[in-house]
Amino acid sequence: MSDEEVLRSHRFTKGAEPEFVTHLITCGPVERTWEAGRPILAAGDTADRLHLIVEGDVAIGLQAPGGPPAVLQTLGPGDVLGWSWLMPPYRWAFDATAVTAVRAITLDATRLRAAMAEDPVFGHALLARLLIAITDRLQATRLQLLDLYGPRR
Amino acid sequence: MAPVADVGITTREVIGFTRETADSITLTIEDPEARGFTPGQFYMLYSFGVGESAISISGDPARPRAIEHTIRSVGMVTAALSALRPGDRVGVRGPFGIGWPVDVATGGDVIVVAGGIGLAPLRPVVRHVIGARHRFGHVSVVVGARAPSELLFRDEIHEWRGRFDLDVRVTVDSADASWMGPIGVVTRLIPGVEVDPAKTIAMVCGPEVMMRFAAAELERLGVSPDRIFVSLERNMQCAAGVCGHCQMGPFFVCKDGPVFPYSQVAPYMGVRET
Repeated sequence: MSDEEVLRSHRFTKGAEPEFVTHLITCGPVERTWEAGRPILAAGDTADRLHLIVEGDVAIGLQAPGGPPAVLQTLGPGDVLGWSWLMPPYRWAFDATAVTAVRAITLDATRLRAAMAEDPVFGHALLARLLIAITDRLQATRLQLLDLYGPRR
Repeated sequence: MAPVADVGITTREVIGFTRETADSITLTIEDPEARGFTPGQFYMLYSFGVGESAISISGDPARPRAIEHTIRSVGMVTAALSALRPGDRVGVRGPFGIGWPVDVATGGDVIVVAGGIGLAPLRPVVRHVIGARHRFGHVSVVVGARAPSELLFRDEIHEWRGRFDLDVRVTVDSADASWMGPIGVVTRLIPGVEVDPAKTIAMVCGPEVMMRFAAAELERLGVSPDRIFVSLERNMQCAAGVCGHCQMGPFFVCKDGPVFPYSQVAPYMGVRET
């Protein structure tokens, strides 16, 4: 499959208008792969790309002093990785590491921001889709915090 | 038709004990009459001198002489039941309740979603499906646990994952670096499951909050709420729909459930209990 076909079949673009995907394609989708254990992005680095995971698992975490990295969550095929490129100062807040071999379609953040500013309809559609992913992640984190399987309080 | 219980209590022998996790065990209790059960039904188990508790059946419907119960020790009765060993006697009443809709699911696709001890009442479903695999379409088993050390039936899940005809996904809420699987809540795995909504029956068991979020994810995949089934836990005492302790809206969970279509019970699941 071409990068365009992979992009069209990704969960992030499911049900989208054809123009939305066409617009994404103008933002330079590139397929990238990482071997297991390799860093995909690091906290503090410039947030320069949107990653759409196609294959493999990615651990989101942080390096903790005096200990191994703390993994908060893992992401898998169909998930969105990285939205810190949306807001200044455009730096990643967490580390992301390939748990298994990972394949993703990545899009250039500068071009995405420019396209969003240039075409508010596209900008709204992209934000709406990112918001679904962000909300899902927030709800999952809240459920994690509830410690539902823990001792009854 | 689901087996119907005698209301009277009988004494049975514990014939097996397995430690599952630090706070959960599985007891095997003999049933010489081999009356059988429907996956999702429960027994009232009585620890002499301590009390009685509703415990779901976690064993294989194809082994009606050996009834398995997986018990998490969270109070006096479950602690006493967890202390039983082979050769000990236990009081039993059951089986009770309406179980999982395995007959309705036959011929279609199945998604099983389990969180924590919620895997126990769903294990009979998975065993039933495996025992009659040709009668079901695509089958997914999605399991969540608090941590790898708190995952029930690890060896059995490992076997399920080795099968080419089951899609088995396991996640834990937190783990150290030795865990190579997904980390996060079980609901996060649902969007990745292959689903044909019109022919799928979903069976969900776990903490009620988890079930509500799981049902929401399943609905997003297009599964209708009347094809999503949940197993509820309430304060069950008589188990015959008489005492009213387990009443939830118009339902007695012990008699009308514990398994309900989500469409029936969703309005009551978020209601604050006073």
